[in-house]
Amino acid sequence: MNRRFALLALWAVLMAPLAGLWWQAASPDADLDTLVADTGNWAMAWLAIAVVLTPLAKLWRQLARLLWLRRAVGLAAFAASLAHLWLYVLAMRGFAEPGGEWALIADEAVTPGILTGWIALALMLPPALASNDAAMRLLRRSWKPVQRLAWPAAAVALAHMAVVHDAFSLAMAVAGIVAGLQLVRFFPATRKV
Amino acid sequence: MRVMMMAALAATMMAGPALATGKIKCNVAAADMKPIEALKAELTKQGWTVAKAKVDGGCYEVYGVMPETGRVEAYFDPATFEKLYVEQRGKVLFKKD
Repeated sequence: MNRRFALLALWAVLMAPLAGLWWQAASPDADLDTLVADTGNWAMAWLAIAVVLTPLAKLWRQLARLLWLRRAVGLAAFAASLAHLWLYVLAMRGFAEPGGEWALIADEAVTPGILTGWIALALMLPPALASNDAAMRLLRRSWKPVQRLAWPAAAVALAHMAVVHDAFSLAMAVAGIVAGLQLVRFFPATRKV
Repeated sequence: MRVMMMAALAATMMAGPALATGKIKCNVAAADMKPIEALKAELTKQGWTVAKAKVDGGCYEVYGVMPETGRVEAYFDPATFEKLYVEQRGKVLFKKD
């Protein structure tokens, strides 16, 4: 199968739940705050999966051959994060006079709960922009370190999720799974993946 | 090695829910609760923009913009409308002792 088509198909499948939430957001009586949280949870889920695929491949060898599909997972996490951001802006509109949402957003941007969200998104931007073959060729040996920004992005996104609103336990559970799987990286491998 | 990893994972996951923080609770009889619309009106008079108000843990929970502060989540006693708790995106700004 054509790799590009497979990546696009997987990305579309991963974006399906986000499309559903986007559709709900168009309804005039939509609970935007809930949709903001839901899109954030999907973004976190895809980002967490993107960063555990390598250690998982170490545990489950068959997965190693499919690691190239990680690009679709990472890009879905980034697209979900952008949807999360846009719904946040729409939700803030419900709290302000027309045009006043930007001042409200700026006011709370320095609170730890929101600042971590902005930082996570900023950290996701370079790997997302470099998630294509042209960037791989251009960046050569620098490409991998750029992709590794997904790591701090995941850590900061988990902090954002834990702090911002009532999702501490869920964030800790995800952090536990992600951190636990990373321990695999320190075990000797019989074959490099 | 894998057993150790699984044990570490299980320990981390069990620690998660134990660290969860509880929200404010109110014990007010239904008959003593003033209408939530009255709270919204009072807050609006004080300069708030109330986006959403509901009952949570027996208290009135309000999402809105507090003057001089920004978008907050606040809890009020449903009988007296006394402010009990205010947080801005997880940062606690006020908590009644």
